[in-house]
Amino acid sequence: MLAIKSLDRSFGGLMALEKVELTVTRGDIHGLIGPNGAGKTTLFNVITGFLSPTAGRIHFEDRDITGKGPSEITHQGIARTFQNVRLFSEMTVLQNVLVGQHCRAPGGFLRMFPISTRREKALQEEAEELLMLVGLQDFRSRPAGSLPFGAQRLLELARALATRPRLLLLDEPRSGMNREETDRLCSYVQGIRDLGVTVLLIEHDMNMVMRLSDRVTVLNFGRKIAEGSPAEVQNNQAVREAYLGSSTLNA
Amino acid sequence: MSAYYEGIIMAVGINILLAIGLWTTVSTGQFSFGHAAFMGVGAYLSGLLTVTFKLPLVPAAAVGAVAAGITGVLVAFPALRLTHLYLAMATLGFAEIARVIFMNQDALGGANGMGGMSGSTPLLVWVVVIVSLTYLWLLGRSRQGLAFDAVRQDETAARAMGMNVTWIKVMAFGQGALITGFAGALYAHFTFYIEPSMFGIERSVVILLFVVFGGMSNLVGPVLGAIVLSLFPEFFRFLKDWYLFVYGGVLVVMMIWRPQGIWGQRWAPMDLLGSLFPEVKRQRARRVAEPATPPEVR
Amino acid sequence: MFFQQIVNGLLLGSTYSLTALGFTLMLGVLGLLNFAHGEAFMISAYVGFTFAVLFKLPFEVAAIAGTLSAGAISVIIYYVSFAFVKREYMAAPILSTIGVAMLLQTVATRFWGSDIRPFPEPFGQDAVEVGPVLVSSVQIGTMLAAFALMAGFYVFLSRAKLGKAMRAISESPMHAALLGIRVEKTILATFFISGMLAGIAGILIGLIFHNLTPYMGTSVLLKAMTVMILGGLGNAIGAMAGGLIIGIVETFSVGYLGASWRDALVFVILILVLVLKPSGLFGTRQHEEKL
Repeated sequence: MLAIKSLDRSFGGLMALEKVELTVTRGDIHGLIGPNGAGKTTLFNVITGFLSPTAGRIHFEDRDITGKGPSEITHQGIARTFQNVRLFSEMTVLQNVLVGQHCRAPGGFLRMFPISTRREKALQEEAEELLMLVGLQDFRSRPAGSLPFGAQRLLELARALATRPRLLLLDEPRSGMNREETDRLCSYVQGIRDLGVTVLLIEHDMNMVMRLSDRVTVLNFGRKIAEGSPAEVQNNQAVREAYLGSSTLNA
Repeated sequence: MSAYYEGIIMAVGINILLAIGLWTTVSTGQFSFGHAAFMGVGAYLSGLLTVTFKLPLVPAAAVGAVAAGITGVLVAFPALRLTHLYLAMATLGFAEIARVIFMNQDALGGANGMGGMSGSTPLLVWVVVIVSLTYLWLLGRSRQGLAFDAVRQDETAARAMGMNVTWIKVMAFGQGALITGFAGALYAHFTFYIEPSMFGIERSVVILLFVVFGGMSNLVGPVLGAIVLSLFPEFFRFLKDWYLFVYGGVLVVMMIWRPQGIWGQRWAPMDLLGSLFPEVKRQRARRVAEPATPPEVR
Repeated sequence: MFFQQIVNGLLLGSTYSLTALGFTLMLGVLGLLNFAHGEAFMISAYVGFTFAVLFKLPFEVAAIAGTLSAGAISVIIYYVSFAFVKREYMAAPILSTIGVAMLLQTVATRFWGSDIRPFPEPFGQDAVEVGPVLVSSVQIGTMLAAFALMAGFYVFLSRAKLGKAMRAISESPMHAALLGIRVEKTILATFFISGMLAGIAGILIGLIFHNLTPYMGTSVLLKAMTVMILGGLGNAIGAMAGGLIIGIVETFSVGYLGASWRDALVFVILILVLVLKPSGLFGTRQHEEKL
């Protein structure tokens, strides 16, 4: 579904991404791991159009999306969450989800007036359902910024889903959550996949990644160093070294 | 009703239009110090049409407003590349340039100004006010209004939601300029005489004061600010020449005591006016070192 | 004629440099765009005028009084617009300085009148020929003073403890604090010094051009903004160089464009730089990237 070929991204002299190749299969939950600074979020930024690659191409469902801007990427069917939650903190919880629907709401003049067409009613209902999906329906009128951190991440998830993506990029969704919230999150992610959305997941929590992912790609210093099933990656020597340091540790 | 009271009613109405005109633009996070220039465009163009071409007031004012709106759209495009501090300074420069341009047009009377306009009535002014307020109120409750707010709060996230942020920002500038331009036209035909110094930085700052004093969280703030600060000189006539001093004092006191404005909402950790600051400084001040957020390249 | 314009431009520009220097320092150290900075400049000139002409005190005393008054104003601004203002409303300080500017300008207009006042000429009006140029000793003195001040300030910033502290805070207040720098006191000192620089510039302008109006503060503020953008935010060298450039450009434009376009041209430059190269001629600071 998503094919990344030979992707480079440099900042001045620094190669944040180097010859990265990645293929995500439709219907998969695909994990993306690597030590801090490996370039995972940079890769997300390039895929979603916030950065353009210095070289290489990205194809989504056979369409070349290299270099397109963020709003267009969203219209193509790719949504994301942010590593540092970027909610509209002064808006209510419900409004945040409604904003996610912006790209699907009737456009043009109709948008300028609070008219309640059938479509609009359907969208409002759908927003409520998304909130119920992540368990936030009781908070619908609270300002998003007043939610506890874990809840904010879930709200961001719901908001991303509101764009009806076919591919969802999650950037460290569980950071700041406790055990219980993480378990809930995992079931949500699986639920999302069951709804037909493909997921690409950046995570540091190895348990979560291994539990959820069908395939895992490992980055280090901007390069892909391993790829395969969770078990394969876990046993990979290069991956161990990347996380733990040199192999003299085992000597 | 005496001419005196009619004058006050019109002045308040015009100031409300100016305040909500600025607010429309600012509601997307674009802080403009140059709205007085749009006022001048509306004033001068409509004045020219009524005095020289003998057009009736309403069409002339409409043309002036549209011209101001177009100017706003034109200004908005280069303004897109500027944020925060830079936008404030650029619009400041724009206001001064506009004033100088007005001053150098002989057709507009140059430094001596243009006179002979008349025709504003309280009814006309307040019809425009009501229409504008209704429009903006509806807009605020619509999806487009939500989009405006999203752009103001977090442009990056707004893009990620598929919004055409460029279009939204330009529209906000244009619409704000249009309302301000209409206010300018009504103003010119109310004071009978206009000159370039009326549309420079000082005017921009006063309009800004209406909005800041009243509060920027929603439409009520600018309206309230405009009403209170317009009526103020009437109740304190003895202060005549010192009214700018008082306005300045009000600003200083407000920023210490209640920076969100009289009607503004208190709770937000990020405030509307925070858009004046480089994102980096804002993050530095409020967070300890965190991994980088996606940089904006557009 | 050409060289005469250059000299005049340098003279004018050096006052811009001094004013912009203070302006850019306050921005670098605190992130504060001090809209009342121009008024400090103006007040200094008027105080100098008052002391010299109305109180009939020696010029040196008047100059010091003016400079100190500008420094005092700056310190007051620090407290009123920054220290007492809640941090979470980040633009509140800027708006507050706008308010202070309005206050100061009204006071000046009411106190001294809005007509043009003549600044004293304590050193006479001789003219000396230096090559193709005609200068008065006042102009030479002014130029020497300004350049000496700028050179001294550069040394101060690179060598002196306080100067280095200022630069450190510009880079990162948090790290500066961690290194043991007394941030609060340094910022206070920055404001005082910035104010004095503007104050000196005000006196110098009075000496060079002899005419004072209460509106000269606004005018110089906009020029200082342009200089600051041209030179790069927070960049002291940029401010000094930029000031001279703007001074020269402005002087030439009067000759060829007429007086009322003179100011507009400077703002056109401001906008052009902002749109084309926001980091300015000398600025490459990291946070510029985000803007």
